Amino acid sequence: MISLSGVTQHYGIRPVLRDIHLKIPDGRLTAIVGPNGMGKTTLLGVIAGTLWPQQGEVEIDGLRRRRSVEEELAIRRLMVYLPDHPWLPRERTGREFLLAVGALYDVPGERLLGHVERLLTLFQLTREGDWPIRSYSNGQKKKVAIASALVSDARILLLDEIFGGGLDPAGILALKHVLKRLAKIEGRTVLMTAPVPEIVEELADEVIVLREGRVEAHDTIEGLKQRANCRGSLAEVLGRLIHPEMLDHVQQYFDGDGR
Amino acid sequence: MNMALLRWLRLVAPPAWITVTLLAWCAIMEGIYAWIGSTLGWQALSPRFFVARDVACLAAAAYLGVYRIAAFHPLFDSDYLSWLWLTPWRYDKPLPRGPLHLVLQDVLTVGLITAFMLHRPVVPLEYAPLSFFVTYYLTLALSLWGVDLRWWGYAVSALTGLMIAVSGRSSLAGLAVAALVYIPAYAGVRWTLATFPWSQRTTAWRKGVARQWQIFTAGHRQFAMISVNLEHPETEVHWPYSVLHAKERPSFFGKGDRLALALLAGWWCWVIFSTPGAEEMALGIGPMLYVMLLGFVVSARLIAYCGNHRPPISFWGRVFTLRWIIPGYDKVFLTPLATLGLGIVFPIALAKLQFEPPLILALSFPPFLIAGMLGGPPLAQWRLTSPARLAPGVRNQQLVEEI
Repeated sequence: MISLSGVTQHYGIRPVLRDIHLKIPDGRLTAIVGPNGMGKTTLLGVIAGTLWPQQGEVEIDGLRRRRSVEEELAIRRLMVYLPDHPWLPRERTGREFLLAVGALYDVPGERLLGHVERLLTLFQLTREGDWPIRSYSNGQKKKVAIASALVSDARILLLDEIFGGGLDPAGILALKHVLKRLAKIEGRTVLMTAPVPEIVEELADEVIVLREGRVEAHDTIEGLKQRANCRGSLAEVLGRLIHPEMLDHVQQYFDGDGR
Repeated sequence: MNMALLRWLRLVAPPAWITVTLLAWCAIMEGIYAWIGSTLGWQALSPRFFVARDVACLAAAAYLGVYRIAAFHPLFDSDYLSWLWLTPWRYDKPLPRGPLHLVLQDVLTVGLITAFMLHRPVVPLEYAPLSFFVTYYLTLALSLWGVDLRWWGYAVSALTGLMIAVSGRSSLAGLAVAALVYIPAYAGVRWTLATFPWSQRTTAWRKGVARQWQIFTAGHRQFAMISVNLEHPETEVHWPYSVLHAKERPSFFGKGDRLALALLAGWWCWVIFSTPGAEEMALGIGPMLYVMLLGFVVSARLIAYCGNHRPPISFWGRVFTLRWIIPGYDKVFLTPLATLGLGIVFPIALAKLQFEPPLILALSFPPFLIAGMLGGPPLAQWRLTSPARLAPGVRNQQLVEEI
């Protein structure tokens, strides 16, 4: 279980996260949603350990982040974090990069070789897998980055803006199936940010709604619908929860047009 | 008979081109000397005419010293080492490629080089064997370090410094010290062979050095030709895997190594700058080197600790939220500050106490090096437990692509 208590985070003067209390259970696919600049990536960074909150604590399976060398190493072995803009080695092939990440997570040799092959097939990179990454298109780079998170076999996956970055429809479809299966059948914990409510509605067991650095809601999709008193799509539900004024703004926009 | 003699000589002889080049160079110098002397008169020739010849002879002797260890030690040749592992060779048998210890052939070879300088030498003749001994002992010290006999290596290195210091005052006495240093050096060679095959750390070190050299000498286009390093995959990946991985990085330099290296730096500084004729360097190039090394140690420390581990909040964040000091993070600056302080205070204090410039340099190097290399917190601990914001660092655009 991922547990956050009283987490407050700011880089400069303005707090990005304010007094966040969360418990994210194991084996669920949880999506973080919210308006731009409201702390989704920051929240993921705090859990991933790239950011150090000014207040509060982050615990993974009862191990506290950065409290001791042993605890931190144990946490790092448990989870993989894929940011929105990872760095890839230009001169390495996709296959070599995936092998290196797998080796970093001590995935046994035979499993690693087979897994890399299956991932390359899954993301339609069988031929490109042996080309240097510099020759890949943006979508292919995104695919190989996603594959790097999957090849780790980590029990907790933290994925930032996983469906962005030029993924083609086949890639999106493959990723949806993989994430669903990882959470539902293999019992892995997936925590992701996604800006598209339709994808979240299709995949997520739970949704964390962030607004102005605070947790506005943390519930199942059904729970959110009840809370918003809306039986429509998740986009509408989120509209009510996060931007209750948004429809008024739309009306004002057209009212202000003098034509 | 001649062939047998040649075979005997070739046991430890350097490549033929070295000998031929040296012979040709000496012949040319003697020829020019004879021609000028016979046409312009011998009095027209400066005694310094043979500087180039003597420098070539000293360089050849120094090369031979390196060659005797580098070419014959299995540590420096992975093919030789791998092959030796597969054979039933034991330390009580001769090394197949040739001995590491000195043999009669070495005496003849170095003697021959010295003989080339016999006609009107510009420097004392003893400098040729001394050049040989300096590089032979230093390369041997490096090999001892490489096979995990580190303290023996440091000792041989320090004694080589003593040999140079004595040679600067009396080259004959220097030769006597060189002969004495051979006792621990020879013991080191025997010990090296007795501990074969060496520890895993040795193998890792040798592989690591070879790989870094391969990467260093390859252009970024050729980089792809170097196979991916799955033994140390953390060197193959970038943000965020490079800073968030759970691989513990064993340091090749323990605390003892760092202390020894700091003390050796001071010792060698004294050896070099106190040599008669080099005192002026202690006032010229010495302080320059000192400042450069001090700057390097402080910068390297800051880059290693803060390159990927930035303050948790920005400068203006600190100012406006009145968190001017973040003790958990800012403690990382204490060691660089102490290093800088010691590096400045020591030479000034010693100068005020009227110490000689070489001694000022020699005594000032170790304190700041010890502080810079041994000051806490340990890097591995800092990387895992510091209250820092992890950042990707500087991107080498030729090797790294950001999505």
